[in-house]
Amino acid sequence: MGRLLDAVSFALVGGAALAFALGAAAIGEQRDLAALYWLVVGGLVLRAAVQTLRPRGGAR
Amino acid sequence: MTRAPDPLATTERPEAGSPAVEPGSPRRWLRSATLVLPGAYAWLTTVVVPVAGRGGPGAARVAAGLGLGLLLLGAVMFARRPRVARALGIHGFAGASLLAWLLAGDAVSVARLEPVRAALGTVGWALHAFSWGNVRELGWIPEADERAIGAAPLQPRGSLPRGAYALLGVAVAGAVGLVALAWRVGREEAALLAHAAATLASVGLVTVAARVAVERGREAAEPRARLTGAAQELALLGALGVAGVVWSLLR
Repeated sequence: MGRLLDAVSFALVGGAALAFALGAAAIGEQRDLAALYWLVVGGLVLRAAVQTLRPRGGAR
Repeated sequence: MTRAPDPLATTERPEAGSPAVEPGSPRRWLRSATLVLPGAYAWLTTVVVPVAGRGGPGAARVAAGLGLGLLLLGAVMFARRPRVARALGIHGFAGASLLAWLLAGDAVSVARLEPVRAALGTVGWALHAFSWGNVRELGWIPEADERAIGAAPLQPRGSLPRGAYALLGVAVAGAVGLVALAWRVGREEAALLAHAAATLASVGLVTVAARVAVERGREAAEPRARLTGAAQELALLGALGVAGVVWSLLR
């Protein structure tokens, strides 16, 4: 289970890169709402990647 | 009773990690040139060009001149008073340049920005930052310094987890890609936002990737705690995903 969560954390970092890329591309295509959406999603995915690996409060 | 000198004292002395350099020696001149040249280049390309052009306010020119003066003074003082020199050459120089830009008004507006010169100036500022760092000079052995504390070499406590370099590589490639995407934005009013967003996202991406890559090897929390810890973010992501699907269907 631990290894699976490690893999999920890895995948989330990749997902965040993809979301940020979609956001940056949307800015270029004048789709401002979509850009905001993808940038927020990217930020949340990054935070989820950290929390999946090392949750706040250091609970064990 | 006399006290032994404190080897960790941080009074104004020549830089640790650098050999004592004779005043007027070629090495001293080389060090001063290394401190001045990148900053002077950045100053010429990003401060002087807009400020000294037609319509540049006099106060901005004075601030620009002050910046160069502080840079030169810092370089001259570096060998004897490194801390004061750094304050002048880094903070004073950057502060005076910033003041010159603020006083220049429209002369440094985005509409007048020349992309190639701005990019070269950015490189100059980055080199300026590096040039004021302290690196070990060629032929200098740190352990030979009289202030060095003799001890056994420190051994690394462990190795990086498998896949760490791969993850960091993906993150760095993603960060570079984001910056490249920002340069493709044609609209002037959105280009600055795109660059700001790309820079923030790139920094966040590389920071988190490095953390994930390194911390994976440490003692991990229980899987249940890890899932619970990320529940809030994952729930928000789920809600955003549903909202995104609904939005795309309604359009």
